[in-house]
Amino acid sequence: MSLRRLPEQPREWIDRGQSLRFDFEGRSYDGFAGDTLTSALAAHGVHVLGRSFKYHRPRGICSLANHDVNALVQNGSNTNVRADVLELAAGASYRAVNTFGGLARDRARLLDRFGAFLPVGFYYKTFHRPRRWFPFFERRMRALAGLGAIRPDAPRRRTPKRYDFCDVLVIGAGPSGLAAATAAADCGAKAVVVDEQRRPGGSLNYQCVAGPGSENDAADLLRQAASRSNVDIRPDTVAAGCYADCFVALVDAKRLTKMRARSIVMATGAFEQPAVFGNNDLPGVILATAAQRLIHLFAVRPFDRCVVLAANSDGYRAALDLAGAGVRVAAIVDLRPDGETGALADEVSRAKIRTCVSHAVYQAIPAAGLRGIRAAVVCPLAADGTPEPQQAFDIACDGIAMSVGWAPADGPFCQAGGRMQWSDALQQFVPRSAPEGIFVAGRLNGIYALDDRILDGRRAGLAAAAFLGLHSAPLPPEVARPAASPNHPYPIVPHPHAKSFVDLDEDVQYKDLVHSVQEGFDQVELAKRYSTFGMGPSQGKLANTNAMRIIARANGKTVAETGVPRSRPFFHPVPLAHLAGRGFHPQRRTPLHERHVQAGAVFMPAGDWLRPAYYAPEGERRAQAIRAEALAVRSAVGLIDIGTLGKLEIIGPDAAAFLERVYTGKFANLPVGAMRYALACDESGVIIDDGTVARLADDRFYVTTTTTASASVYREMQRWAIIWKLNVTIANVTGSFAGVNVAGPLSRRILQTLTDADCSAGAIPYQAVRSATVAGVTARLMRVGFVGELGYEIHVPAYGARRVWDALVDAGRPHGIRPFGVEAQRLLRLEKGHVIVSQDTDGLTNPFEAQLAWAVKSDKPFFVGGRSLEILKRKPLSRKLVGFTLATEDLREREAVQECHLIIAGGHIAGRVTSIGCSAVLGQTIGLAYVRPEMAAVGSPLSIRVDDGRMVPATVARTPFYDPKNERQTLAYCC
Amino acid sequence: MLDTPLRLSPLHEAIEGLRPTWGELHHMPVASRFADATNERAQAEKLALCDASALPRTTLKGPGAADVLRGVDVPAAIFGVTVFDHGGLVARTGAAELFVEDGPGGGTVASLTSALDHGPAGVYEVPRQDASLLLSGTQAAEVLLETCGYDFRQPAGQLVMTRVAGVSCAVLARRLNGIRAFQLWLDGTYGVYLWETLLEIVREARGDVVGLAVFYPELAN
Repeated sequence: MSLRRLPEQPREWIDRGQSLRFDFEGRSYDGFAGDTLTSALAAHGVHVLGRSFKYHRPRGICSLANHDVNALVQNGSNTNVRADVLELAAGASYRAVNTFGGLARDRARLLDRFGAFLPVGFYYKTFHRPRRWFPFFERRMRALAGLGAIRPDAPRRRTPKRYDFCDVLVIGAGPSGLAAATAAADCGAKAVVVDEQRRPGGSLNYQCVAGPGSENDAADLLRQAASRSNVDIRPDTVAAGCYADCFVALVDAKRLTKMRARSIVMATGAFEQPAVFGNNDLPGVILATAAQRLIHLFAVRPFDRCVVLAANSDGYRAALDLAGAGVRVAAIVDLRPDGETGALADEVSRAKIRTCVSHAVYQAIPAAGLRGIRAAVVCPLAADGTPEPQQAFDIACDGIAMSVGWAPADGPFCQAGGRMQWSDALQQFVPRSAPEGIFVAGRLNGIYALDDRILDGRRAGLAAAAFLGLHSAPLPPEVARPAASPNHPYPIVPHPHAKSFVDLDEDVQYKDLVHSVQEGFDQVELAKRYSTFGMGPSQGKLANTNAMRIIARANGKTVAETGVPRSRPFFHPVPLAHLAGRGFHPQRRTPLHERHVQAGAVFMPAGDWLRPAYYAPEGERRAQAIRAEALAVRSAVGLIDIGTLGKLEIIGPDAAAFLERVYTGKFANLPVGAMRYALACDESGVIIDDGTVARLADDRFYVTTTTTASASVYREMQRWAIIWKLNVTIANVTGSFAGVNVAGPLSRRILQTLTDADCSAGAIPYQAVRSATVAGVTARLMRVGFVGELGYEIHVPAYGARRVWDALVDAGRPHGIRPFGVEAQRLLRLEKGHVIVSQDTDGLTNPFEAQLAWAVKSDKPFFVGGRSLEILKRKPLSRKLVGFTLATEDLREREAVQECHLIIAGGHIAGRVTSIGCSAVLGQTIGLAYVRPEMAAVGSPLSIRVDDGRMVPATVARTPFYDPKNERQTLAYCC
Repeated sequence: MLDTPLRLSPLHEAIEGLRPTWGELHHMPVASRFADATNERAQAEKLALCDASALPRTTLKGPGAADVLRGVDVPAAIFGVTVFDHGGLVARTGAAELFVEDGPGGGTVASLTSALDHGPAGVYEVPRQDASLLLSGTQAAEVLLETCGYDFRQPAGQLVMTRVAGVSCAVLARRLNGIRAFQLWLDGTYGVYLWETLLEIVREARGDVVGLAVFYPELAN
């Protein structure tokens, strides 16, 4: 039976009709449906919920609001789950993370005693010498660091992402947010309200519950909003990241939703901030709102006897709530010199609660094993706010509730581009400027009184509607910010001996920040990274404001001068499963994909495409298969799917003139029915692509590009066409046409059986293009020689590709036709010394370096890169692409050389290998490499450094390696 | 004897394993149905995916493109659409660019192709070998919300150029045989990927594949 469960509370979230049993750290407890793990444990008087990150000190409730990570648990395969907001599940078993041997007997707790040896930035200073010991310490520190454990066997969860749209997105379902949504909806806007809490209402659910009319206010606000059909309220949904143009990532339990709003009302509220004093991290030291959440939402009595540390009226209300819940409030320790006046002070007085005005809690005295507290050390404050510990006195208590101020939850606002500025009057940041379409309301706007927050929300909702053109009447006047600040300017009373924490996530103490400044990390972003404040999972929600105050004071500056760390998405950590979601990785397949699969293709990615690297139908090894495919092309006939090549149609009266400008070659004089190699450079003369240009008619050209460049070349051509104002139409028909290349001495014989065209050398000479039908499919036949044999590219409408492929395979079967993949094609073209753009060129290669000067026709008026190439032509080359053969018989050495290995000369880098392959037809390993020009003469020795550091000898060789006179691809011989 | 059909849908390899009842349209095998007509209609009205690639289509480019379509009410606005009686449509995809698709019985595309063989100067036909999908039913918009950043719940009537599951698509909300559907056109080489991606989502939502005859009953015969 729970010891601390209160009688039914008016707005509690628990269902007393459903009792649940669960395990925590191996012990069994019960709770109610609707309890969080933390609240259920608190109901049993369990205070220690976790261990701290660095010192492994016991930690308990702090905010009970997902704003700290004192209580992180492993929940099955889910790790680092926040117990404060984790709804209890029947039969579940939870364990605290970051312990060695369990929460109670955590062996790493000894680290707390060695705090003096772990100063701020210790890992930058220690364990680095002697150097050989660093790996040892690194492993130890890595083992100690981190929180929960990832289970690689965790079941995969479906977390599809979703897009969504609305007129007004309201972030925060508190009084301001609900009022804003209602106002916007009444103007006709479709409003979506999101809130990270389980139920809408915001602070009205737990604050002011006992106050006059508050319950009705909350219910009324909610009822009004919910009654609008165009208001969609989504609790348990975090606005995890806010981006430009009102694009917001919403995270709920199931998925990530990408919300595209037309306008946003930020009503994100404020985080209650802790005070800094000795042992302020121990279980029992909690925020006043956490105590109120325990009482009102979960019907749990937080303490038996407590001290309330206050610096505003909220603290007095919390003291009354605690008293109402049966807690003996030993004292309200008020940091303010004048304390509270008015009705609340009277009520506290009537409740016989002692008040210690202008006093501070100096230290919490730990209970045994730091598992809680047994007293608060209270001391008066001098007129300048400094503590006077010589007059300190103890107040016995098992809890301290802190209510010393607020910090705006400005993360989403700043992520969206909003700017904040420090308000001396309010002692908090307030909005300075908001991006277009974004409006703020409520505590984020520095408005604290309930009525004012509702008015401010309505004003923001109407402003959003007006922005959308849905509201034309004048907006209500701005709501004035309060004259009296609810935020203490410096709720920090560091203790000289006891640890005084600023950031509970990262165990950052007051002295760490002071030392950071002393060591020169005096800017807020530097101090953040050096001390790690604000870098934990809570992103500084409870730490940043106090840290800035401390850094400002240590620098002798104001907080306004000190600034605030930049807020970045995500607002809360987002499960990786949500981020991964359903992956969309578009993949292109040629129409022949299924045929490749049936032929035993081993695929490789090429941009978005999957291409057969080689075919291993009966388990052939890679090298064996590539060799056999290459030999088939050299000796008989092979067939390759070239449908991935980019294919463009350039149409119009200025088509030829356009191509003359885009490519380095000449095309105006290209006869209809002929084709030509085409090389494209950018304005600086760097090679960007190559392909072929075939003239189909006077005003119509068919252009191929490399596989991966089709989209970029198409875009670039469109850009140039607009700039040059030429009468030309460009169509990207890459997907509309499939292509196969049938190559080898028998290719003509096979093709001739399938086409109505005359395939003789006279009818289709080298570099000719003809229209024909192949296997009944309309086709474009292009006589090519990329692999150095008689060959025809057959381009057909994609729908007919499989028929053509099947026909070629059938017709070629008696002749030993064999499909070949990209690897064999690379080898075959290497034997010919043909360059592959982007493999044998890089982002700086010009045609002169790549031995492609022959493709540059400078005697034409203009082409892209022409002027740069003219300049480059007059300069000496810094490198040159050459062929080479390996000058070693050692098979291991030959196989060790790979693309991108470096050429070394005199101990320095003198070039690199771009292509390498073992040629069966030549019986040697051949390659292409960039070398210094003085090393490019045929016969020059090269030295290639392979992965293990060995040097493999090579010799510069003449290209083409195979068929140097190009007789096999160009001559009219026919088998 | 070569028995490979003259034309195959870009989705053929994905569909043939689903064992449809095949029909034929313009020499292309068409999955006309996967179940009986009543069930298919119910499925299509709830959530279904269908291959409509077999429908003939083409693009006309050039300043005289609209003149070639004599007798057709060519939309003046870019992305405007005119639907033919037989289920075909013409959409303006640029100032001088029209996209034309026929229904199963239409002959507009064929006649255009024939006319352009000896056609007027300044009008060019760009071949289209798209994959075309029909995503139908009351839950279809929800599937698009998972895959596309465009709000299809807005009033329809125009062709929308957007990305679905990362693939550039033209999408048109339309009504075919009384069934609400989104027709998607995309580069056929992405067809299998998008089909498999959408079908996974559709099936998670208890949708399924249906044949083209649900939308064009004349194909059932």
